[in-house]
Amino acid sequence: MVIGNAEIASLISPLLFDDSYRFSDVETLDRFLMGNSVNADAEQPEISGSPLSCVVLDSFRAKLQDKKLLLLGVTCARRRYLVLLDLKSRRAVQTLLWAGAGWPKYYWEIAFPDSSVNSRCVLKLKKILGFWAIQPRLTMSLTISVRNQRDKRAKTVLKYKIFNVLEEFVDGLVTTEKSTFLQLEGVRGFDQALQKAHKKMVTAAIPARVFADELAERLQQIAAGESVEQPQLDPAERAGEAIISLLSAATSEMLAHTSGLLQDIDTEFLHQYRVNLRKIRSLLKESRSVIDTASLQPHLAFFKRLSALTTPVRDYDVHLLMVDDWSRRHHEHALVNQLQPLKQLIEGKRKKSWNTLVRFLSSEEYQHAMTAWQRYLSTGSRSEKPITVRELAARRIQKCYKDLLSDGRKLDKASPDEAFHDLRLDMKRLRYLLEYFAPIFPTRDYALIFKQARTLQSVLGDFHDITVQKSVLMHYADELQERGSTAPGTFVCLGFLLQEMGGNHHSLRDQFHDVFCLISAEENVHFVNELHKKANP
Amino acid sequence: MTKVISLFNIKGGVGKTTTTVNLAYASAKAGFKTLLWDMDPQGAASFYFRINNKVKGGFDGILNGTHAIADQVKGSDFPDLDILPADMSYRHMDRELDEVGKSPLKQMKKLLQPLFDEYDYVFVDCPPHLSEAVAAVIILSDLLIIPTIPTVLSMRTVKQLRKFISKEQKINTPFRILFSQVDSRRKMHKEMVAYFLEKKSKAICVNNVPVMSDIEKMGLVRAPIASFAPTHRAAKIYEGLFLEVVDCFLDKKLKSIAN
Ligand SMILES: Nc1ncnc2c1ncn2[C@@H]1O[C@H](COP(=O)(O)OP(=O)(O)O)[C@@H](O)[C@H]1O
Ligand SMILES: [Mg+2]
Repeated sequence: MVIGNAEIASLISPLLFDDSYRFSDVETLDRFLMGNSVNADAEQPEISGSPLSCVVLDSFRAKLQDKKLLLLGVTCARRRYLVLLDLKSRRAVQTLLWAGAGWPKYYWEIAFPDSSVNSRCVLKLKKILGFWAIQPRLTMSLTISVRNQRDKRAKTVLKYKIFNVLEEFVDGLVTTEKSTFLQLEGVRGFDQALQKAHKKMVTAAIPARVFADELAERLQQIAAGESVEQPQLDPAERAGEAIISLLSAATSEMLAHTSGLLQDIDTEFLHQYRVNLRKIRSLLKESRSVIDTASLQPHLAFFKRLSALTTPVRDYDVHLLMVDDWSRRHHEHALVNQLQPLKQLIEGKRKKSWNTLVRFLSSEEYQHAMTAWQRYLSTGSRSEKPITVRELAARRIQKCYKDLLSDGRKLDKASPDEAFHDLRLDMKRLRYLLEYFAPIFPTRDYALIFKQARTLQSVLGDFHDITVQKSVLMHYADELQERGSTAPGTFVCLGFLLQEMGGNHHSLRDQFHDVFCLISAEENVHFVNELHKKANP
Repeated sequence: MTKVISLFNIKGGVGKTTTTVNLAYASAKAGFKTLLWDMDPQGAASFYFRINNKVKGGFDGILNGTHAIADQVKGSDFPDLDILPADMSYRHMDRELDEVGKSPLKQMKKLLQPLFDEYDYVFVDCPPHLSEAVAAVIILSDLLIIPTIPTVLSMRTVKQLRKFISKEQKINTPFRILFSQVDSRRKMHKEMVAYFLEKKSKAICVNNVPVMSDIEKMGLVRAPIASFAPTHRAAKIYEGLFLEVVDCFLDKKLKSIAN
């Protein structure tokens, strides 16, 4: 049986969204139907023909579910379909016949047939998923069948649609759950039979929730298991205590991303691992005055080493993403395949540094260091300095902002790239300070200056990337040339890549000037001073 | 836009009901929302779908608005196929239409249009006499199919009927003649069909329905033939006939584009 996209959606949607009655198993339902002289007859075979198998596809922490979307992979009669469902409006948004061997791993592999809806859907998926991989999170197999209730003329007066679901979900262990859902389908003009059956169901069936809600809840459970509770910061709290709880949360985040990192599911796990590692390191630097620094030394050394080991892997990841992104944007380009040798070169390098990293992460040394760090967080001595976290935060922000302004004012458009680099570090520091302490200052002005800092940092970050990445690309080109066997097309492609980057160099310098004007504006100076004044009475 | 196809002949036993039932099934099977209106008080078409030929409140009730016509519709056992059952009261349709006053055509239109709008195709199994109500339905139809047995006498009846419909009733609904119960062992049947096929007359359906004992079985099983014998030759013939019907409307559309 060949089923079209629309049919697949219309097979699945009722199970997910329509009201149904639930029976503990098929046998109980059979007994009930037999008692009501409902027979399975040969004229009405199973609707789905063969069992359907479904996978709920979602990211780490089920980000799609969080945004009320459900992505299903459905296999039916050896064909595969992708169905995107909207949990809010309770309907299938898009369906497509999936030709790939496995299921899509990233949002950009998905192209829905309806081009206008497609661009909207893909944009949405992009916003939600970014570089996070899509993984099978729940699996189930189901059969759909219909049985008829007939009157004394043998006329069908009511249809019983039966969904037999075998669910499998992973929550530490693999758990399976069987459920039988029943939906009543009235026949026009025979309303009495339908009403009678509904009445009987009240006692016969287990009241069931809409199945989509149950699936969503299971995904929420999965996500909760992968998530870390964020600390509630009281601005008046002792700075030492508050910093420790921020450090603890960042450490939990690191740990939460470790398993995905080790499995190398996607580049985001390492990225998030590093984001939190950086947070720990810079918080430690900013709060030397309020926590005991003497006993910190070994931890600082450990984090520095960890950071050094993760950096090359992340850099190669970024280069690969860059090459992939370029290839996707120029997929119709004749030379696009010629980038393969470059990709292989980077992949080889990445593999090496990844192995080194994983060896360290799996080592006893790492285990010991992490345990020691966690012990420090739970028991380590804190300085009793009577300063609130608000005071500390305002002080650090003011100091950092002052440094930034003096470094920035020394610059003009003609300054060398290196001068921009120093400022970039100031900017990075300010941006993270503002980010880490944001929960303490829930005001609009604060959010505004944070936003500006983020923009300026991303301009400077791009600028840095371009100057640094450009030389890295040149380096790759040299290596390929030394090998001798690389086709000229590869170098042509590399040339295009470099050209695209170079083109942005000047515009970024101009942008930098604009954004610096914004962040150094009088009201921001005033705001930072006020922040300091209010926090330090 | 809903297309209404009525099947009519003043002669009984020519295959009107059999054709309507199987055409409607083919239409629903092709995925179109389909209504079969069993207008014949005998209720043979309703019988084939195991439906009681009784309409609540009768035609009278529908006409004076105490019973909505949409509430009389019954679902068949098949997806996308509904039946508006027959009723003995249809015998008095003309008289009742008369009593209401206004033109029967306007009355029928007002009554049926909202219901018909729910469907892609409506097939009407007409009773074998040309009452005012039947005439109104034929006028409302987009196509009239006249099933007939290929004998000289039957063809004469058809000719008279056509003359009556177009000249005296001034009805210009497009029509097709469908040869039904064609018996290939009978020389006259064979010659008649061959003659018209050769003429390539547009008024004759290309598909014709031979005499087949399995078609008679429909009365025992009480279901369209394609539902219990989907690979049977008859099933294919009705499928082909339905495509011819669809084609009639396509033609028209193309013509209107050309104009
Ligand atoms: N092609 C056919 N082969 C055999 N019997 C047929 C065929 N078409 C109709 N019949 C039988 O002829 C009888 C009259 O057919 P029916 O469709 O009820 O005609 P009408 O509606 O014109 O009165 C029915 O018993 C039916 O089973
Ligand atoms: Mg009849």
